[in-house]
Amino acid sequence: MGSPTESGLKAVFLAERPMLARLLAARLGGPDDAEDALQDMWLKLDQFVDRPVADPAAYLFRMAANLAADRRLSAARRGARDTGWMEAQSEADDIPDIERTLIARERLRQVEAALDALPERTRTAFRMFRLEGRPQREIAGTLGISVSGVEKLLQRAYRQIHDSGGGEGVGMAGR
Amino acid sequence: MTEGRDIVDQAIGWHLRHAEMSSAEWHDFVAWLEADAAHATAYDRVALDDALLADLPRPAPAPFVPARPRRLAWAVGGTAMAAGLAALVMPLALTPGSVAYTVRTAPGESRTVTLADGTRIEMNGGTTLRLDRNDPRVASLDAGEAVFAVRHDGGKAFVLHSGALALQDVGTVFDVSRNGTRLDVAVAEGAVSFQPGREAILIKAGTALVAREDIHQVALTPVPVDAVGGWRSGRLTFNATPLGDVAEAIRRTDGADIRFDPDLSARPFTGMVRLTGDAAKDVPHIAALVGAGWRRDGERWIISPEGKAGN
Repeated sequence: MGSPTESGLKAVFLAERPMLARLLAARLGGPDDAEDALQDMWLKLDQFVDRPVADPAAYLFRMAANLAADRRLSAARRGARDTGWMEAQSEADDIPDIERTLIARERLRQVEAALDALPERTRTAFRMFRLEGRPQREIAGTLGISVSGVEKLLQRAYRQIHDSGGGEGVGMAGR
Repeated sequence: MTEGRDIVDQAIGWHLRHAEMSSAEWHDFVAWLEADAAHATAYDRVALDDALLADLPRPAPAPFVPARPRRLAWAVGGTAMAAGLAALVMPLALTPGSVAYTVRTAPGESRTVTLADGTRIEMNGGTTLRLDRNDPRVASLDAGEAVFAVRHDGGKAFVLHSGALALQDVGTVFDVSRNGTRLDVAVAEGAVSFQPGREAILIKAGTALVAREDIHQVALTPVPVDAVGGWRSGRLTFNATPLGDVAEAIRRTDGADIRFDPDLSARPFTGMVRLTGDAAKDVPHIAALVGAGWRRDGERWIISPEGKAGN
């Protein structure tokens, strides 16, 4: 490994480290978790090869945001388990837990119901954005509307999903 | 951009723009998160919901998928389900000039495919693989199991797709099996990168990965290197595998239709099973291993809890 691309990314990482740390601390609830996540990122950068990145800083922020989301999701699932979904299970982390599935399924059902209730165009835009990973500009082209029109549809879709969770985010406590 | 909207809408607005934000905008986002604890909380909800969305079932052939004539080539000869599962992967897997073809084995049948670059794929029974005549560095496992001995090429990595998941070799021998939304990967030599694009996880030799596409969850466990691809010699190793999937694995190798009673099929099974290839011997052996009874119903073998009335 050790390609120029990789060391470039690492240099940007070091330059943006304070801001990445602030992002992670804001998302994960404290500087300790942020440091831990930064370590993870650094290790991941070691595995990077042959992938030129257009805007390395933005890329690193996205990577940090994704990492934070993954950690929050597993923490939330752990939290839900600890609050009585099932008795402690010693090797829980090694086993694809059935009760985690249940929590996720319950919320997924709500999400699916919320999506079903959306007007068709909104649902289509959402599906293309979130499930097919298509850029908003491309969605705008396909649907024949402006980019800001797409943004409005997506905004509405995410809001419906959010509101379908009721007050407390369904088993997703545990910050 | 944020004035006049409530906090949740602001959070959603930021989230929607993540993919396209410049580093200056990321700095603004951090400042927004820090400005008020309510901002961070609202954003957290949005991000958690969004992370869960990765688990939504993939839509079946969608009316708005961009028109890419070559997609049809992949779908030809594929089952409806395989085509549906692969729909999202195709745009990634395809390069201009690709000539796709499907290789399929029946349960109980195995087959070895050698690609133009020297990569060898040993297919277990009940397996569907999509390949590209013009690009030996890409493949898609739609169903079943195969051992990949990849000829490493520093210039172009070998990428295996399965459903919405992807693996990239780092010079390697690895076994992959697909059961519905579950993907099992076990590495015998070298290493494989799981989900190489976004948040890569490196799977090294002697490690197995279980990915659950439905619940967006990944677990890594150690695996004896010589157990990888054990089906080639009739040895199947399972690691907290639901019995329903165990039945599917046996079916691939023995070609026998084995069903577990619904009361058993979700139960996890860990251990090694030696198969003779003859279901009449293997089924009683497996039933004994899981402490259950068995019966035969025509071509079908049914394993159910001891004492449960036949249904």
